[in-house]
Amino acid sequence: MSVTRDDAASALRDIDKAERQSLTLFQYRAGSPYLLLWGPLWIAAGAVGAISPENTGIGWAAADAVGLAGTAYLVVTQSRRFGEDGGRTGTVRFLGIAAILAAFIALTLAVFAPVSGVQIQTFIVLLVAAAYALVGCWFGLRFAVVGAALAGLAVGAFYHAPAHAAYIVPVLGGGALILAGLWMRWAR
Amino acid sequence: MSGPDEIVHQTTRLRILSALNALPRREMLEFVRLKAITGATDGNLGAHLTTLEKAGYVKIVKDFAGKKPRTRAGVTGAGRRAFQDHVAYLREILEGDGASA
Repeated sequence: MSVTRDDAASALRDIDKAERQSLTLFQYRAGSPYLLLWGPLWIAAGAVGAISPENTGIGWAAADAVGLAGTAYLVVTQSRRFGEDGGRTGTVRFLGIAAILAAFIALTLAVFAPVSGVQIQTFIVLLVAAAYALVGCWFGLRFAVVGAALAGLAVGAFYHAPAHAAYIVPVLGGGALILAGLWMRWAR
Repeated sequence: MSGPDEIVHQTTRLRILSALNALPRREMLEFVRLKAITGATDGNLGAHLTTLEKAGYVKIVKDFAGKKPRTRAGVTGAGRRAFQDHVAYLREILEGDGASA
């Protein structure tokens, strides 16, 4: 069997392409459970606010608590499954990222205070959307599409239906996360 | 320079091993996704997977996801080594001065 320089170059290009496709599909599968977790929670929290506006804060606090616990579970199990060090690095990174984001959101809202509930909600959605768009720059177009869709929904509702944004954004945003999670899970 | 691994070098098998080697250890890839990555037909992909399995380079797991039958493939330690050796061989050719028998 003779392998020429052209054969070798072609084979290495094939390898690179197959590796990238495989890794992208893997990232989609690993990312989809987070979307399928937060989508229904977002809708549920929005529904609590729409049905009983005085309990909006309690609804979001409960959704965030369940979401963060579920996210922590996913991060730890995925780090244990895929990581080289039994999940320690993944867990530490998750805790670090969660602390940085919590501090960033709290300090930013403090700087811009007073802000309304809809402004807070829209800001957090835009932050999540930006995170997805940035992740999409490295790990696949579908993450970027999710980010763009979330940002579009949040800004559209904020400017064009501000009176209804409090429940439009959770329903559309949560629905978009669920659809995106299924889209990634079924990616081929 | 060591010679080419004829089992690995075939185009479809090389794509299969590239896709599986890119995944974390113990992670497997479904048949339908491998089919999309390699561009092979069902029969062709099945035949190449059997060849790789007989060589000890991949392991095939058939199970059910809910009620749907599912076939998954993962690379073995021997498969990773063979793939990495072959990639090193291909790079040597590119860095060297031409064809190798």
